[in-house]
Amino acid sequence: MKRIRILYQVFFLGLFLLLVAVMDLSYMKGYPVLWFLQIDPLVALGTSLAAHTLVHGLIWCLVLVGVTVLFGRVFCGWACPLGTLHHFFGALFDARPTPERTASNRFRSLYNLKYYLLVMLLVMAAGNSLQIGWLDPIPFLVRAMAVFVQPTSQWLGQSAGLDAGTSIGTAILILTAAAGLGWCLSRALGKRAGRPGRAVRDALFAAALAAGILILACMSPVDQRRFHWGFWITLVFLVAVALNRVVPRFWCRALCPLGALLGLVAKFSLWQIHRSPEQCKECGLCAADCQGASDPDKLLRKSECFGCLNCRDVCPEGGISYRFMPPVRGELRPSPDLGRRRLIGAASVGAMWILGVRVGGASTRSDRSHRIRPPGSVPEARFLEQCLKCGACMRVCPTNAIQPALSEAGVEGLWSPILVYRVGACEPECTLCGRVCPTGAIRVLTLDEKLGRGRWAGSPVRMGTAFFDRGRCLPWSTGKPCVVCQEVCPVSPKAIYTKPTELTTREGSKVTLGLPHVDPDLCTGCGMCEKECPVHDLRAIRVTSVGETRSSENRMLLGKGGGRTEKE
Amino acid sequence: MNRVPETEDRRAFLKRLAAAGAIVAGSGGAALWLHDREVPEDSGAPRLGTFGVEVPASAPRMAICRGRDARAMLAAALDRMGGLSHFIQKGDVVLVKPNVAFDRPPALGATTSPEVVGAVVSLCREAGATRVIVTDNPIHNPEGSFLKTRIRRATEENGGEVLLPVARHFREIELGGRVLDRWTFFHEPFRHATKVIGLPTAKDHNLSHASLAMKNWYGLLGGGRNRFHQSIDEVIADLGCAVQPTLVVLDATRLLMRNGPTGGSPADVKRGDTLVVGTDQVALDAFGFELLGKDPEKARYLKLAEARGLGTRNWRRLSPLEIRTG
Repeated sequence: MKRIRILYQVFFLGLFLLLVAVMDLSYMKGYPVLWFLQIDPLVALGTSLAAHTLVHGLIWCLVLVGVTVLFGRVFCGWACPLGTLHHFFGALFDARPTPERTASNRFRSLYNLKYYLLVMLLVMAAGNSLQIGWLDPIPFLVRAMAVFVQPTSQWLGQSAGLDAGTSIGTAILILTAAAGLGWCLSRALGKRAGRPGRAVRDALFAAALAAGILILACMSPVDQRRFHWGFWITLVFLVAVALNRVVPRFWCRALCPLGALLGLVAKFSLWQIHRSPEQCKECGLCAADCQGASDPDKLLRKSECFGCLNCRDVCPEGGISYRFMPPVRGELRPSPDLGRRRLIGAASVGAMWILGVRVGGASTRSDRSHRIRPPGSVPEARFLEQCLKCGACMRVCPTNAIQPALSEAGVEGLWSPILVYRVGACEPECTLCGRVCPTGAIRVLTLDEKLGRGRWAGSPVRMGTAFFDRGRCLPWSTGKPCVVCQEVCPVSPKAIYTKPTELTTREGSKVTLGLPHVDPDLCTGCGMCEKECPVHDLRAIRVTSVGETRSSENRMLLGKGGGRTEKE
Repeated sequence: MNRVPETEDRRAFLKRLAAAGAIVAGSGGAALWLHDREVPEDSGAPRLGTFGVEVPASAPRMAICRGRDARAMLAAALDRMGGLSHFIQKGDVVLVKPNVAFDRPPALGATTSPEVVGAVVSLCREAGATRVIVTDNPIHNPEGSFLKTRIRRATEENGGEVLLPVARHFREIELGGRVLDRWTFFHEPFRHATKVIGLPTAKDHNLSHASLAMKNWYGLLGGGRNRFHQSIDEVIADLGCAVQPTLVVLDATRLLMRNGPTGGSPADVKRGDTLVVGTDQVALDAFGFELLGKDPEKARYLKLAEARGLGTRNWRRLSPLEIRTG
């Protein structure tokens, strides 16, 4: 059974990597790139609590709820891509001999932490602050893929000259090298634990992992992706992986709020692991490799069991089975002991968060100038109820303009998407970010709506407004001709225009120069001007969020007819 | 006193001696290997080759064709120039440089028409070119630009290949201009190309009045292109002198009359139904100015280019043949 399970794990991790790889301008062709995010019931529950709506595709979470009701927390053991990564690194780092390993796979009360985290996050969501994306494994891994794995694979791939034209021979060579490395590492580490037999499996897994990275590298766009302050996302991801050295699958056992939610559902599951007391010789072997730390040799903790079937495979008596509603005579501990006081404590932390950041920190205030949201973003209060910070928009944005916020959007907006126009601009003919947003925080726009054509004539989607910094602008401050900003302004007529102005040079001669101006009625805040401004560090034309379509407060102009005097 | 056995001592001594020797030899060797006795001299950046071919004095240097079907127009115009086989021979690797600056649909007139790109690629292949590389360094995202201008499809369907610029494709080139001397250049396609065809589209430009054949070479530059605008006319003249193509095909099937070079509204675009083929970039640009309803006298870059002997602004002097196809 174990082999079949590993096949499933590799398949789902590969599928996940492939879906991240095709989340790209060149490959988006209606593939279900959001599938993993959409089957995640915590995403559905969190957004429903926060925004009181179950956004379109999130209804697919019922599939996973159904699977869990039938078979228990098998998602964690068989399908979760982050779980599979932890499983692999847990096994790779695990160089303990059997008795110690059994101890490291015992349940500890610390593992109840995930339930408290779940309660805290759900209370925060109920208070309209959706923060499940910090720890929910699917948004967590999508974000790490977008900000760390894809850019790194791309960099490695480009350094090695790999691209879509890479030959199968090269690919086989790389995969063989990865498998060899996995095999050697596994041998070296496993020998100390007296278990070199895992080497083949680890080698295959290393090859699969390398295949994923190779696919990402070969399918990468030509422009290298970079994420300002993506470092913190990378660090958190690497620490989560490294924790497997201390305790195998620490993340899944102690931190994962999705695991906690599925565990609570799994309490009622129809199929489960069953240890037959008649056959059991109490050798304890079954507890040695338990992925979920569910104590199969004692009273099975049903909510912790991943259904990985390691215990079933290892039992020398054949006394452990995975069965439909087995007879239970007190050898089961279906629900975790959480304690009412601790639960109230966890809920209080969530409530304090709302008071602290929403009331005290004024997260939703409308005057944050650098909080420039992607086109089609819903109003900020709603945005904080719906955005998972999963980074899918950052992954798909072809210009790399969408970046994870650090402080620009307040504490609640950590890692939420903002447009950084120094890096890239929002290209007019593109609406990909809305198409990959799993929760509708960025709406699906048509080009007509975005560009203000047809039904939307005259009111394009605006992200903000551009302003000149006349002290830095070349024509304004140095008398040199420039106006690249006008050249690249994509709206018609251009929002940037020049007024021919006669200037006196230092030597006293007269020159006529076009001095650039912004027409705020026409500017959509796309950032092309800021992106292309030659004043390289602090640009001489910069976009701030004022005038953004999604806010009725963050405005400066009266609107229709504002600034024009009526003829009497 | 506890004496350590002598043999152990000797072995340990020899081991330590060997390690010390290895460290000295290793670091000394590495230092000598890396050591530069003199400050290295600037070896200079490479130059671009020239790609022009000898045209017989009798052959016209410019042909204008009016019509609707890009392929028929191009074939007719090339016939008058002595046939494409005069310019492209069997075994040539042809670099085609259309204008793919923006991620915009062809109808907005900001980029070269895919039909014309397709026609050029397919005629080059028919003339025996082994490879036709279509490339540009867009202002917008490269994948999106080649996709939405439909130039990628037009190229690949006609047997050409698209080369998207990546960082390693660029290197410093000595362009020998007055402003553009040494600059980061999209050099990769030139490593393979034996012939170069410029394929600009005719459009309005906010600074240089029009963006035509000479301005089209902007797309071969990397680095801080946004600094050129401070001396745009000199830079365009420098570019025209630096890149000497085999042939230029000016796509005037659509004319971007205003709000250039980006356009943005179909209202800015006018039907042109014209293709111009030639070897004199200055003449082609002067003709393009007239197509766009502009006075070539206003173009300072054309004056500079003519003064440098690149060509003539008086395109009529080349007595171009004007033909009409269906």
